[in-house]
Amino acid sequence: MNYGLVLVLAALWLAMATMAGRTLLRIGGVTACGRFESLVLSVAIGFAFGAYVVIGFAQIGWLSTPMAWTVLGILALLSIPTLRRQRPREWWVWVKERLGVFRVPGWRRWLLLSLAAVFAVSATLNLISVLAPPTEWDTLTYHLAEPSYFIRQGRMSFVPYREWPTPLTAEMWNMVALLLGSDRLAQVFQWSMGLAAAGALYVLAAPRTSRSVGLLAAVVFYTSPHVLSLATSAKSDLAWMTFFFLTLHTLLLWRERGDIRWLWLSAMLLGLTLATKFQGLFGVPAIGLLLLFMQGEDWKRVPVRALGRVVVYGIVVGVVASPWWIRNWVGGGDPLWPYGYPVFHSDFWSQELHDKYASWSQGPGQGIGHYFAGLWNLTVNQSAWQFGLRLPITPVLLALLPFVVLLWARVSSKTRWFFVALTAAALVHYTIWFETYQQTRYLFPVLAVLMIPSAYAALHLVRNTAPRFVVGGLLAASLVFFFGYNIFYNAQFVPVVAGSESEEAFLVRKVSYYQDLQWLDQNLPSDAKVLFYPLKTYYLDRDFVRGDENLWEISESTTPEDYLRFLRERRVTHVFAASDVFATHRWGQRITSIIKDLKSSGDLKAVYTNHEAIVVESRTLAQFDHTLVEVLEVMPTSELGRVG
Amino acid sequence: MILRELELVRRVRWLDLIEVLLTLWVIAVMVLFLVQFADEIETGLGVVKRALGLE
Repeated sequence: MNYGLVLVLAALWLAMATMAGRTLLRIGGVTACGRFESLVLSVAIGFAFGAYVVIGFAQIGWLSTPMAWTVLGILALLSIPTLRRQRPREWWVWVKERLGVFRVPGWRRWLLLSLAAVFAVSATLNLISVLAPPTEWDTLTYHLAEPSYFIRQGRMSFVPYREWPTPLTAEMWNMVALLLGSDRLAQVFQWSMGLAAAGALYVLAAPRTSRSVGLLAAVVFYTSPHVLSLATSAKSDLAWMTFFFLTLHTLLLWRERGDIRWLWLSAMLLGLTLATKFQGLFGVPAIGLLLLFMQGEDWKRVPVRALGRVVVYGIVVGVVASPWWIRNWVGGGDPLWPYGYPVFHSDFWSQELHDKYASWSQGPGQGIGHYFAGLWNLTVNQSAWQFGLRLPITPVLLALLPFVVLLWARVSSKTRWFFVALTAAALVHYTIWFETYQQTRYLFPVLAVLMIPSAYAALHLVRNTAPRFVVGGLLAASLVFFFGYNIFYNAQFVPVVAGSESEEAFLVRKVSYYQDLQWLDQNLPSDAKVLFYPLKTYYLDRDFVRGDENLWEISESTTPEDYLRFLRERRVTHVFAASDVFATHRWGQRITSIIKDLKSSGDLKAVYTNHEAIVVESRTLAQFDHTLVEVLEVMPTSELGRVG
Repeated sequence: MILRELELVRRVRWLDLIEVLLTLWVIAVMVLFLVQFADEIETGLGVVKRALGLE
């Protein structure tokens, strides 16, 4: 599909989803809000609604291109009431009014223009990058691989690979894109959620501080390398953050506007947060704490009503998140499979595996000192993290947050309450995250909301105080650094999008075993089933079963006969054996030895061998290694008995 | 000075020291941050210089 068509389809689908979202909000009586706020909320609700329609169709086994167009038809029908109310002239007036934000005197004008320019250029570069073939690791492991697998199977199901039972609300849009024939379209959809997330952060910040603060926070957020890596992939994290920021915003609106409908909308958005990523659970206690605190006097005056609100809020959250939890419960005996193992004793999992993954940590440590040094370690001590200096986090947070305390006397009461709420929510969220395996990306919602008080401090200091040059220099250096990072990161995708590099050459450089996967796709019969040991299955266009430890009862005592029986019971026709995977696999040595025996006995036959298969270690830095890859055909059942 | 500008204090001179310390704090954080990425920055500048024909 050519790029123009991808962009037209993306614009069509997103416009319909947004207008459908607006209609749904109006039906729910949520109308009293500003135009930009309404736009961001409509994007979020329309995106979620479209995803849930896809879930419904997928559950009844309708996974085809006509289904994708039917979803568009439903969105279009819902868009009609909103479309009829649109007055282009009003929009033009609104845009002119928004542009008026730049008509401020002196240096502030240049600051705002610079921020807008940095944002626009970053978003454009990211858009160019998503037009390149997908190469991001998690995208190839499940964000695209899983919808692609479901489409091939003709139904959506529970598959007990460790990453696959994650909630897939955002991935339903990836499914639509794949049904329409374009994985780039999936990346454009998720890229658009990056804009929505930045918009949601602005909407959260601007009414409670100022437009300048909202813009600075949104730009610092959007130009962060973490967001950059997400906005150039088909990952669901940006949808997750959009829902989370809007959950906070609508919860605060309930208190500010005194309208209970915002509370229910907040509950729905929190449900969507949970329905997008398991890590949405990190934010639940934080939101719950705010909800309890915000009831204030109601606990004394009308305790039953206050309690009722909390209960109904929880029910709404649960109902919205339930499709994925039910799928996991039915398929794996654990709504949070496999993370709920201590409570549910999940199927396809074991205490040993639970202990193994529970002991994983990427952070520098989990002691009390590490807890209090969190922001320091995240920003200026990144080499202490397991994967080191992969994605820098802005030092603006660490440098400027302390100033908020000094500025406290100047902060208005409305903004004070906002900062207290943000800080409390961030602290609870951080504490829970700290107890997990400390993946920095999963803390990003916290870092993003902390950018709001940091931006407030930055703008106040630059405007009013003596060290304005130091603070201005910090802001400028940080933005220049991250802007440069964006340019160099995105540069890797430009040649293939511009056509000066072939897609084949690009994918060989960026995707492990790409040439070997191409051989499988071109030479195996269409009914072949491959036992595939690596995780990234997206470019494998044949039925497969992964060689995950939890699904194959391999141990030191497994015999070649056992292994062959496993293969035949699961109707595996070919084994994709990569030496580098076996080198790190727990039973890799044993499997290698078994395969050698089965080859000697003629039960496995090597039909493809590549001693120079490419394993990509860093796609951005173009670092790769070579390994041995073999494709082994499982010989027919009549051969059984020759082993030993 | 900063604290007086913020109207937190009016007469206490020694608090000027805090302003100096806070300014140093901002500089230190930025320097520590950039030092972490010295290699990456050098690589980036090298690319820019080559693109401009300066190297």
